[in-house]
Amino acid sequence: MVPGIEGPATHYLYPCTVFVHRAEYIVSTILGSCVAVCLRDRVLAMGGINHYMLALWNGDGLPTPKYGNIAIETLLKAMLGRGCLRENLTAKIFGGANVIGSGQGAFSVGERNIALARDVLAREGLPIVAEDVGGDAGRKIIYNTRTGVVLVSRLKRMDGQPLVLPDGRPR
Amino acid sequence: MEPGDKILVIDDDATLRLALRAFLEKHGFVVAEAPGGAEGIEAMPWEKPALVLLDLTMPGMNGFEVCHRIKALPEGRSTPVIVMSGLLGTSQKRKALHAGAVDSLQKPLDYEEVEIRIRTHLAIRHQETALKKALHDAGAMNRNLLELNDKLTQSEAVKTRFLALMRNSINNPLTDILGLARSITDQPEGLEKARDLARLIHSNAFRMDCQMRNVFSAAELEAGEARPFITRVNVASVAADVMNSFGACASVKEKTLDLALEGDLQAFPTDGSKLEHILANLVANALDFTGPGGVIRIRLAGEASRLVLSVADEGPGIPEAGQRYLFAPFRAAAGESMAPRGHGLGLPVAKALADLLDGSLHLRSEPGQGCVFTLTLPRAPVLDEVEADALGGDILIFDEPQEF
Repeated sequence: MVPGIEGPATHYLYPCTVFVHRAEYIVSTILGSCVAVCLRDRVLAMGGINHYMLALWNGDGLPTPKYGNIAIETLLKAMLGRGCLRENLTAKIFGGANVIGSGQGAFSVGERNIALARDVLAREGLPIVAEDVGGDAGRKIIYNTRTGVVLVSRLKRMDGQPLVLPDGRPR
Repeated sequence: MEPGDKILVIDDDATLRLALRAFLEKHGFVVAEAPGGAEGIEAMPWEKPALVLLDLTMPGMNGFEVCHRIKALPEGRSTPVIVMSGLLGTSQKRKALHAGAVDSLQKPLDYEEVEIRIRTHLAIRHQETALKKALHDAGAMNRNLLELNDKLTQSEAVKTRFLALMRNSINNPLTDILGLARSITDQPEGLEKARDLARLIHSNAFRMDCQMRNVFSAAELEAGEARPFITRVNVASVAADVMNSFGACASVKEKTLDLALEGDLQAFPTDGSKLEHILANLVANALDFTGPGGVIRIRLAGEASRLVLSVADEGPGIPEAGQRYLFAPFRAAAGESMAPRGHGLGLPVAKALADLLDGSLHLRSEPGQGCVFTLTLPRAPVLDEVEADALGGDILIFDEPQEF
């Protein structure tokens, strides 16, 4: 994006937030073990995206989109509330890298976040049409809400080795 | 196939009708008879047979005509008709099919064949009925879903309108009341009584204001619409503002707020208004749980990579068991013997705001020793840097993008 040249508006998506807009937006976010779900209505050509940190809300604290089950529900509700039809919606999922030291038990936070996305989307009947999940490297994604195209690049260290962010937030 | 399906036999041959009745009843069917075409057509509306056996060669109206008329009746449209004849050539069969028959039987009848053909066509008819019902049900379900969807969309709109209304008709006047009460309180001259009343008005309106802010914040946080707005914040002055706004409230209740500042607090990168809101909630919570004459100690420390804020009260403390759902909305934690915990949204909102700022909020408490809430916030990257970086900046190194 070159400054000064007219183009779609941009939005940086923070963790725990959801973004849905009728207009064309270029939404960017950076994912470590976090997962972002993009939903798109192919008829209205509008999209939305979330960015959650943990899989399930545990009942303590507000039910916010920090948690995958809330984040996907909130995103879906926001899309339907803006006139999207469930049968026109498709999903793309990104992120869920294995972050060292984030594991609890048999699965890492990233793996649990990915499994939750698949589970909730299947239950809601929303097909996953593209994904880039897991692995060891953090990701930067740039999502065009109108075209639905997502550009994914992986983070590297200066020496070219993959780099993982602790919890999906740029440092 | 249902037990007791009714078969209507239309034939002028009484002996054959009798024989068919005996045979079919033996196999569990119910049988109705008609001696001619006209009688057969007439019997359709009240007999409502599941299947018709129709003789093609009868005096009066011939079988093709009868078949045609049965298929034209509302009761006959979906009823399978099997024609019977002794003179069944290919053209006869074709003519019968054109008239709406589904099958034909050669006379003299082979009874075993009769039974098989009847059962086959009844099975097909039942499947058709089931399919039609399923389609109808699916249609009805779809309509219900659409209706529900409309209602949901409406309720979403209603919620938005409700929040806008609350903002305009409650929040704005409340801000005015707060300001007016404050200006009466600050009058050096005037009646002492009026000043005391104004203090009470201010204190109550202030509590309401805190509650309203929490309601709005919770709604925004749950919708994922609250986002950090990072600037370089003079944290010391944010803390001073909170002390100032709670001062009147605390003095009405004979409680003291004690603020201690350490380290560099002049330009800490974070979201100032969210930090203020977290601190306000922690102070409000501490005030609720401290008895008259008690002191609430607020400590703010600017460290190299983080900000540490703690709020300590002299309340009864919270036993370990009560700390589990401390941040759950509308759940008063332990220490129930004290006044009920405010509005039940303050701590959950503070916690969710801390999450949003990538920070943490913890409680250290032992019964009888009061509570210490500690908020830790990292130095946040300023939004412009983050956004530039995410859109193609060069602080983080990325490989070539792939399209999905």
